[in-house]
Amino acid sequence: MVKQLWGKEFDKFEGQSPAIFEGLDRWSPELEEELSDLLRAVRRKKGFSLFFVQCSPALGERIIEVIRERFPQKKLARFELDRESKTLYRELIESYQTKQFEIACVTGIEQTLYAYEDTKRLAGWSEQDIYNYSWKGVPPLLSHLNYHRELFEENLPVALIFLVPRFAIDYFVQRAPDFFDWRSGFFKFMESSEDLQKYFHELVSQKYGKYLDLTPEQRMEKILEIKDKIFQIDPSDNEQKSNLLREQGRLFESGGSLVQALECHDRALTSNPKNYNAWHSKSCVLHSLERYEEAIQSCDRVLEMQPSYYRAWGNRGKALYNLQRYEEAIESYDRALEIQPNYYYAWNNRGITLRYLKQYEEAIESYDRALEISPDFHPAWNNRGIALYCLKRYEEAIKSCNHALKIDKNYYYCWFFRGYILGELELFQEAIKSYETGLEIKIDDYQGLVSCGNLLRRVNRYQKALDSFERALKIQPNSIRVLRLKARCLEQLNLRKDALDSYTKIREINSNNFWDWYYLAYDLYYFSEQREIIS
Amino acid sequence: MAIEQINIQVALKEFAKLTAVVRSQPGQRQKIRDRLEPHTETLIQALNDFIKDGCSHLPEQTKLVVIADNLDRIVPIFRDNGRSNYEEIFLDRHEQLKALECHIIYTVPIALIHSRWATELKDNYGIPQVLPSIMVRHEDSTPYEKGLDTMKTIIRLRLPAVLKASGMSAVFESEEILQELCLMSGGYVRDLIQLMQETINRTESLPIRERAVQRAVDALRDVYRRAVEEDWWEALREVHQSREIENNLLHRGLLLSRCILEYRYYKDNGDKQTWYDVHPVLWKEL
Repeated sequence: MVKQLWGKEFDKFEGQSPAIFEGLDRWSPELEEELSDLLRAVRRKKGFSLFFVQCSPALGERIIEVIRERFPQKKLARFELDRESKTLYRELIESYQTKQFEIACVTGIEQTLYAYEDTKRLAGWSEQDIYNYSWKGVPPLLSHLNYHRELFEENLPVALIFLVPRFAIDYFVQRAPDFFDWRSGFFKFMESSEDLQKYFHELVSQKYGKYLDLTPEQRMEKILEIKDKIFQIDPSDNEQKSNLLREQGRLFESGGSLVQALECHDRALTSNPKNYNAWHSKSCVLHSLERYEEAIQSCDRVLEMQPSYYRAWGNRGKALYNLQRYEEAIESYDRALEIQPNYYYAWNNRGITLRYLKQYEEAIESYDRALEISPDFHPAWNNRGIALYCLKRYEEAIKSCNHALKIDKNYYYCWFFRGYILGELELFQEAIKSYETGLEIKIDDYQGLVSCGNLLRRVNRYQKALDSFERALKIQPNSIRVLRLKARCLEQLNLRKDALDSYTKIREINSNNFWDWYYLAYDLYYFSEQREIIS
Repeated sequence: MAIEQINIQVALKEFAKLTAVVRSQPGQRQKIRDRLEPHTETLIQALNDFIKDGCSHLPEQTKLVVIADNLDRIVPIFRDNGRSNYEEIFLDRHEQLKALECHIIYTVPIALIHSRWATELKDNYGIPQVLPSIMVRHEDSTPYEKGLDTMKTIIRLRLPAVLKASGMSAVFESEEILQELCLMSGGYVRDLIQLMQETINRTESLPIRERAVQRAVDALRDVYRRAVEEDWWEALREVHQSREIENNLLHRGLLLSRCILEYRYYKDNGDKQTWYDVHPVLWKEL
């Protein structure tokens, strides 16, 4: 039950006129009313009292300032929590014993919540059933508050004021209702429309790359901040709401939360179906979800409204490419490049598509265009190498790869491809070296391991080849091809029993593929023959 | 402390100690729990000795009742296997919970009573009693004076002595304002007190004016609204229309968060009638 008896408060009714705050002309009338309510409540309470104030961090600072000004005779203590905070009671009581404060303002509670799975749910709009949700327990600070409730009341005759953002109140309501129900008051401060406008302005100029650099907790903080603003804007301002939702979606996307991202974009589009940026962002997410048809539809919506949105043409091309509709993809890329000839991503993707159409010369031209614009765009160098390889211009292909690797020496895929060409040229030692460099960067690349093993086998380095195959089998234990390669290595190393084990394993996998059986029979035939000769 | 050999005198003291530890160092709860677990039987025995001893000092015809309050407010935690802490507490441990030799009232989360475990709960403890909200409206939404009077009495009894003499008219600007406050509580006492408190926070001098009540209601509404996910509003609208709930996860959850309140009354022929409605602060949102 609520422990604070309201009855006591009548003693202190002073009948004074509403407070007027000096130097606070920036407070709107609504804020001022809420503020005088808060101050009144703090003034009247005797003994322990608990207040929740919902506000942005910046607004929180101003509120604390006002409390200080209004109660010059009362001692005020500040407590700032951070991500590591797990307790509060001890800190409060220790400080209280020496400083005897009367008001304690606590900020930063939200910091303790960012890492929690529930927070992710509160941050998004995903309409999953809360009761089917696997709660990862209650954050330590909240259980601490729940458990220490009574001690707060008994030993801390102070006004305890929590200044928290919106979602933290949600968290309290859902995960620490007992503590929240003890409140002597709940006050809500909205930001002024100028502050909100300033925020929107800063937000719109954000680059997606910036979002990618955020840590998961920073990202969560940002997402929640946006959600908080969504609740504060004028509900009829659909345009702004839609922009905010899209931004939220992009943040989710940058953290790999595609389902949440899609939900945000869908909401953005419900609020404002004309938000072509949101249609575009939605197409990106759909593409990542491999829902290519829908991605194309989203692109089409963008282009209906904004035919010169070249990135949408680019995305459309990519989706068509993934649907193996190569000719249409090229058309889309061409549209993009008509509008923006410097769009080197599109030149590169166009090249890839042309390669699938076996138009290697044209593909190389396309890559060259990309590299004219952005000489350091290493994927284009690699792709150019592939096209040259297809034309059997091996030396040039290797040169192109070398170029890519000069720009990014960690481009392991290119190391593999380079190794592959070298292998074709029967420069086995160099080929193996190229693969090994790639495998140092990406130690668990299945295809890289298999190819490297094969090359090692060809130069009779069976033990090393065997190692490579073993590693590949750790990733795909039931690969018949690798098991067979392994068996052959073992034969060469005279480890016949182990080789037979490998064959047995192939038999157990029981493939439906005719060729698997054919090769198995073939191997066993020669295998047994050899064995007979030896015996 | 040796829990193995507990006798009643020792037990008394040790229990007091344990309670003190739990209160002063709540972080130790889990540890204490783990230590006590193997000794549950002994503890129950000791408790029963204690109860027996206590009862022997009671006047004749008097019985002991223990009330374990606030268990209804335990936040549900779902395990990976789909079970919840409710089941662990009330079902897995029912033997122990029933082992005390006195009357004992446990307050269970309302969601448990409406869950698939209802039968098991009934088999283990008998039919659970539901303490409904106080009816402040009839099922047809018209104000129910008798219930409203109860709410008003609760407020009156909590008035400070100075004001009791001058009566409610000195506290509230008009009878309608008081009525509104009581109606908005939905007959749920905790919310009545919460509303009263927020109203006072928002009142500079008596009598309390309409605006203060309105703003207190807004603040409470804001809290309730947070417990409702967006696609649950449709379900709430239906309950508000039909005055009935379905026995599903969603409705149980809404009961637990008190977005849906349960009411009961007896018809003229003596039949018990149970009905449900959305918490009145949320009506505006439907």
